Amino acid sequence: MQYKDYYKIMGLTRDSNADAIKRAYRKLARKYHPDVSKEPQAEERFKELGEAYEVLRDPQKRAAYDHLGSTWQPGQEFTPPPDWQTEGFGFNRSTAAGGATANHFSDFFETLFGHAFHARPDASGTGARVRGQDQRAKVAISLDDAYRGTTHVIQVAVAEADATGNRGTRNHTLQVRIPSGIVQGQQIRLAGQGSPGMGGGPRGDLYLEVQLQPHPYFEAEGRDIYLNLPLTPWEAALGAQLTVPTLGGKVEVKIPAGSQAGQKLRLKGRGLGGKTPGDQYIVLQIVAPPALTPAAREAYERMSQELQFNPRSHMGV
Amino acid sequence: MTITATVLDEDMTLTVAQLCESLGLELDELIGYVQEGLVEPRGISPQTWSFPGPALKRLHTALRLRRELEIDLAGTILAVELLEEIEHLRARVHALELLLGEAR
Repeated sequence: MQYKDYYKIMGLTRDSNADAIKRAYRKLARKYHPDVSKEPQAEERFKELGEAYEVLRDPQKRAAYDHLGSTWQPGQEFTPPPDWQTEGFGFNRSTAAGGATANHFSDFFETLFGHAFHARPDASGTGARVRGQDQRAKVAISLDDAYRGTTHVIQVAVAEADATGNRGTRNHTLQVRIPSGIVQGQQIRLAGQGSPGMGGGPRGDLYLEVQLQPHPYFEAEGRDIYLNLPLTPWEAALGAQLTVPTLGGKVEVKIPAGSQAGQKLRLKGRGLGGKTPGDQYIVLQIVAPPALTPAAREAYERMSQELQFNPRSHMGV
Repeated sequence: MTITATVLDEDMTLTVAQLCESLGLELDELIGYVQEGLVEPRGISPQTWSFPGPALKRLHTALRLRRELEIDLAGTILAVELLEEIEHLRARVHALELLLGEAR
């Protein structure tokens, strides 16, 4: 088990007072809150922060923690002092069947303070029939899988309490059928795959929040799909019948003569599915071929002579 | 064994009991969020309310923010709405970056 430096986690010194601890917590909580933060590892940092605050905000726990001394280094292999249980701090491990929660603290915390401190009072030791808690996780799927639907094998850490009430997590492998037409940020529910209940209560549910992985050329915005379509100048000027990719496969699209860069064409109902499927938007882009050969140069020179065209006339130049 | 997932979309319906149970929420609290307009039920009284699927995520975010950042109800709802707006804008920015060729 590794030692945790709760002061360092909160950016505090050992002599910080209660106000400073609260201020530091508020500030870092806003920074790392998983719903707000885009920092990498925000979830992990936030959890660590919650644990540090749990100890440092409570004078009794803080005193006990300080008593370990300041010579420990973060991550150092830690064993509690032999006199830990007899110090009179009263952190003996509780054997009550604490509610299993996904937000369990580190082994370091559990060893020092047991889990009596954050067990849900409503679920402990009453012997009542209690439904297991719902669990939440994220799942990354490709845009193609979102469009077609997919069977995904996922691993989730399910928090569980054993017969003696000790908490732990168990990696659980699930094969999940994800229906088609899912969009970014949407939740899906797997009934009965959350934490086990107590006293014969049913298991909670597992909720997965979908994160769409970036696609090489499609971009999803809600149910709509955007595609940048490069055209040659002559395809744009003369019009063309082109093959264009969609999530559902290739389609033929007529590009009208006189098209310009930035114009949008809509393929109705070619976006992500659902009751009202989204559309695919094709945004035209015009790419000039390089003038690498004498023949190519000649073609451009002929255009410059024959096409009286100044794209900057609106700027008065 | 393959488990089939239920999508919590607008067409899906959650009862008051399901929401409260999943979120560990009291009915009074739920009524508070409804009165402030965070989630909109279908039905006229709490006894007959039902909510569209996305209400669960909104409420979950709100509860977490409120508890973990210690903000009040109105502030929480403002934060949830702004977060959703940011998410929406971020998706737009990504789409626009792609169109400008920056994503390549």
